[in-house]
Amino acid sequence: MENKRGNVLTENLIFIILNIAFISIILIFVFTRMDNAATLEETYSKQIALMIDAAQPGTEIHLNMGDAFDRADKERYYNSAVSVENNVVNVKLSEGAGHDYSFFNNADVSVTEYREDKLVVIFIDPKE
Amino acid sequence: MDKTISVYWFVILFITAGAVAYMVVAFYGAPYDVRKIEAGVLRDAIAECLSNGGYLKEGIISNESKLFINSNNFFDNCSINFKTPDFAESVSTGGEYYVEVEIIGEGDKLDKGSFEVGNINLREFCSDELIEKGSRINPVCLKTSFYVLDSWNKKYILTISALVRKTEKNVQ
Repeated sequence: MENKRGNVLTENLIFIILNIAFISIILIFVFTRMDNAATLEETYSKQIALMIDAAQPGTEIHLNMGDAFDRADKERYYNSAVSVENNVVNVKLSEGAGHDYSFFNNADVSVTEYREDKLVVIFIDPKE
Repeated sequence: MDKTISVYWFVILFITAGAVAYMVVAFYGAPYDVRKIEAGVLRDAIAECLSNGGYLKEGIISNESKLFINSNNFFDNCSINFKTPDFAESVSTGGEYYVEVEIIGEGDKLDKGSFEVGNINLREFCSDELIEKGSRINPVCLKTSFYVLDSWNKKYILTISALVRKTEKNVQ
């Protein structure tokens, strides 16, 4: 009788541990997919392009990119993350091409990164 | 031990894991579709370029209801640039944007003026039928009409159609 009770306990323990392990693996997979560099690059390049499109000349945009810079640090990528050239925003958080997205606002756009503050400042000036 | 090593239990585990993996890859693998927002911003930028506070801006229309702004001077006047170097195929397809502006005067005589800029091959996607139908893979077109007054308080209906293609970067 005592042996049977012991078996039931062990069975249930193994069952619970396997379930927890299974759920953990699924959660790790989901979170890895959620904040991978490619997703963040796409999100930020489109977000910045749309902000530039909607901005008036003389606007200064302060954008917190904490999660993107954290990801770039994990990827050991320490170069400039955001660049704007010829009406195209490029966001690059790892070695590779990054993600490009164009905007239609015909303005002079300059970008300054403050990596320690996890901040990107975008200046939109009228084209000379 | 029946429960833990049961074949059925492992089948259920694999089915669940497969379903979760498929949904996550499908959701995060698909690009974010921002074309509707972009078309809305483009439409608003054109409306701001042509009118302010319900009045047509100076130099948009003459006292004979002639539209001064046209496809030749639209880009300079509205500070808009339709170049999209991130779409290599844009040169052959004619571009990723299309805009049509129409202004109709109300009064004794019906004055009308219109112009279009961008990729005219995309014009059909701004037809009422296709806008209403709405397809995920089609270019996104937003059409808005509103009343404006000129400096002589004459009433006009201004219709702006703004279209964004950019399918490759917004639709899987």
